[in-house]
Amino acid sequence: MKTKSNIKVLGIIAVLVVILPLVVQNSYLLQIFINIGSWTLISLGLTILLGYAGQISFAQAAFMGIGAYTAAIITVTLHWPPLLALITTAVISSIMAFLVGLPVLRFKEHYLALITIGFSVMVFVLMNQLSDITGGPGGFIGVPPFSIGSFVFKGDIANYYLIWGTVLISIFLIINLLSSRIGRALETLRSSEIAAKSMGINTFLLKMKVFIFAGVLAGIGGALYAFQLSFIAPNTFNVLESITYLTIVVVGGLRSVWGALIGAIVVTVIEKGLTHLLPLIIPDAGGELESIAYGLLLVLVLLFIPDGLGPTIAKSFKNKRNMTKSSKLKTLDQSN
Amino acid sequence: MNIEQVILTGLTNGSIYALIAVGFVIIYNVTGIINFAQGEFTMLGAMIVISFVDFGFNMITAAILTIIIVMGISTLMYGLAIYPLKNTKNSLTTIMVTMGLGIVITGISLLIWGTEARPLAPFTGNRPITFLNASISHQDLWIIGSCAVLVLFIYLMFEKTYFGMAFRACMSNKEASRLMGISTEVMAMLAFALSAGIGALAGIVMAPVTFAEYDMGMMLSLKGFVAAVLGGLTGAPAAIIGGFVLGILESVGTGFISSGYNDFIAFAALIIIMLIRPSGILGHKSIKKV
Amino acid sequence: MTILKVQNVSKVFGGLHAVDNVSFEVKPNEILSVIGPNGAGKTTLFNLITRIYDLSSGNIYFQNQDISKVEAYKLASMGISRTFQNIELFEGLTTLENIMVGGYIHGKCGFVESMFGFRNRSEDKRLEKMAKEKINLIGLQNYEHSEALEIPYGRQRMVEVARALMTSPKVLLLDEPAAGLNSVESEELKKLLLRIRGDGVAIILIEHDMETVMSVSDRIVVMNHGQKLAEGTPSEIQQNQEVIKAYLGEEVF
Repeated sequence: MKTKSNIKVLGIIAVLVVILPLVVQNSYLLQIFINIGSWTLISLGLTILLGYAGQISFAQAAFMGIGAYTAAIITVTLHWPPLLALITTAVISSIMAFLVGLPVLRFKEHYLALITIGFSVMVFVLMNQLSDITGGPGGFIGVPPFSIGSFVFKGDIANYYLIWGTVLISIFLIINLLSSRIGRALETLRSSEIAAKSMGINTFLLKMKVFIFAGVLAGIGGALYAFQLSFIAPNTFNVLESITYLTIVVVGGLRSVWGALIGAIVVTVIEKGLTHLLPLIIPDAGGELESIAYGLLLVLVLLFIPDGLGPTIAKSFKNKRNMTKSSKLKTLDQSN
Repeated sequence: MNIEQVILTGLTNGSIYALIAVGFVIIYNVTGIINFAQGEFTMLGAMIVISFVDFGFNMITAAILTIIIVMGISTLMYGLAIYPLKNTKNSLTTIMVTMGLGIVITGISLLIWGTEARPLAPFTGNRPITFLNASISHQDLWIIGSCAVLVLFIYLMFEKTYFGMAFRACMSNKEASRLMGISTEVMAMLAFALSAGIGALAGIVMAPVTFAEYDMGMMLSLKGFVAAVLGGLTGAPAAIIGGFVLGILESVGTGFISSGYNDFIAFAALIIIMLIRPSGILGHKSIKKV
Repeated sequence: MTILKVQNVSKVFGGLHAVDNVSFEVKPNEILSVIGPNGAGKTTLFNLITRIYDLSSGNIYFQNQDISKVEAYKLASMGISRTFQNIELFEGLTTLENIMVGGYIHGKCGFVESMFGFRNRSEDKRLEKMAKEKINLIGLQNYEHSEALEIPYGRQRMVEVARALMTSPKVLLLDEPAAGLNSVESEELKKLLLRIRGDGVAIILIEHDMETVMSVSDRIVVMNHGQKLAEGTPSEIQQNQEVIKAYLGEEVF
């Protein structure tokens, strides 16, 4: 039931995604849509990991960084074609996720939070220090655009379709996953691992698979980001950015496939709003102020709408519909 | 670089980490919450004391006022954002809330104080003292000294006062202490205030050495947490040892590898130790009841 | 014939002998109750058999195979399942979905395969049909689509039983299934236990409700201070002087 309606919604979104660039031909807006797409992609893995499986991770930005730098190094330093680079990126981020998950996933909650933060910090240090390979704090310049054979994804529109195509496919895969026995098993990790084990679920292996899946999504997201911008720098993959992704899924709704998408839209709107409005109020305010907004948003949503926007809106919508239904029934009763 | 110097530097940094770690442990044991905003208290301590000194207050008055203000901020934070979560079973929520609060505090500090690193004159003389083969500045002694005094203070408070006893009761058994008429909410609030005070003190004594920057809180939180975990998250003495271990590890790393790898070393050590001894260097194993 | 054999099993928690050198055997087709005062080590014993805790010493054999070192998640497919004293239902899942999780081991779709969704539908139909059979058996029809953790407490215990049954166990460990049940529900539980036994499943039962224990058990193991105090049929246990002494002051029989 839920699966069917989710697939329907996905279809509608797919149509919207296809039409949008035909209607909106403003390149600033197109950039914003691309941005929403890549944030959704990075956050999607976190929806599954945190929202469904109940495992916190601050490593999303680090995995994005691993993906971006792998793609950059492979295409520029090794001169491999971008498609091969993207596939290699997926493989390398899954290996990295496996290696990190092996020691880390035995821990829970604040320990897991701390160690994934620690991993991110370590990755960040390496990005800055190994400047022979990564270009150091100044960044890595000249990543070519993505291409398949002779078709080059050059320009905003091509990149828009590339990223949103990946997002839609990922959401489709996740909808299927969640409606399977594996999806139900994932949800058991959140409330009782002991009962899950008693039901025959290899909880460690399952956590590992989700962690790898989230890592690969972030890695691919990072690679696409590198292809699109052609320039990457360590600061994009800082731990603080992981908190942004966390904010996105919490705001959008942790236990909804649409949480990442809704959250990415809301956070992007807030970010763009701030960049336009803040200078009017505080003239010398820098970009760092966005982070206060994210922090505040995170706290307020957790305190007042812990389910996140997506499920809360859906619920009130449903209630309204039920109410109109029941009021209709009432009028029927009265007319009888 | 000689070994004495490395150890002395490590002890100085370790004292700061130890103070932050003690804050972590106090809040964690009373409330079960890991306060990821802990390092922000230290940042605020440094920032506010510098403002008071710039304003013309003498060091002691400035320090006392700073500690009171930071404790007030912490209490406010507890009341507004942590207390409302008392019925939340999900500890991930509290992790994210304290993380978010940390970011908010960082941001507000940016608005107030800007991005520049702000200096503070050392409390006493500038000339380094030579000790064994190493040299140590007056301020380093202030740091190590205040850590020592604080440890003594905490020990006396916990062991010898009624308040301390209530605190310990709350740490070891919440249900029982509630039955004894101790309000766990009040204790939780006091834990936040006390931790903030300790954190602020760390910020005050370290400011002349490291300067104060609006964004230093997060890394301090993490390092303090690492120190607390190294100690096993069980009690103040273990946290202090954890702090020193971390400080010395870092200074060894800086001395023999490169200061760029400082953070790398700290977290690598954390991960290795957690793998070998998940309960920390001094911790005990605990078992979940089903 | 023995299906489960507990041999000199001990568990020490920091000096405290929670379970101290306990041995007993369970036959297929029998209901064996484990009784004893609070803190006697009954639930710890369950946690040892289901491998949630590591044994301090001793061995446990299931169908003559040593399972003392087998990982907990492997027991379900071998044929051991359990319920929990402090209800451990899965949050956010309906009663039906909770019970379907019990059928996890009967499914085959893997992680990647599930994402492409080729077999999900047919596999889920099969598991759903199985789960509905259990729902009908236990009488949970009214709660099928309610979130499991929001239905009445007594019913939650029954969902745990249904979920455990979904694994098609050969040995079923039930930890205080009658707690929180009213007298009508207790009667139903007794019938259910006998019916499960009738299907060829051995049951190990921890229960404080002596009426239930005495009427359904084939044999009883009495524990006190982590040790096995006595073992025998219900009538033997009722007359055992040591048992009566251990329960002195408590009106049990």
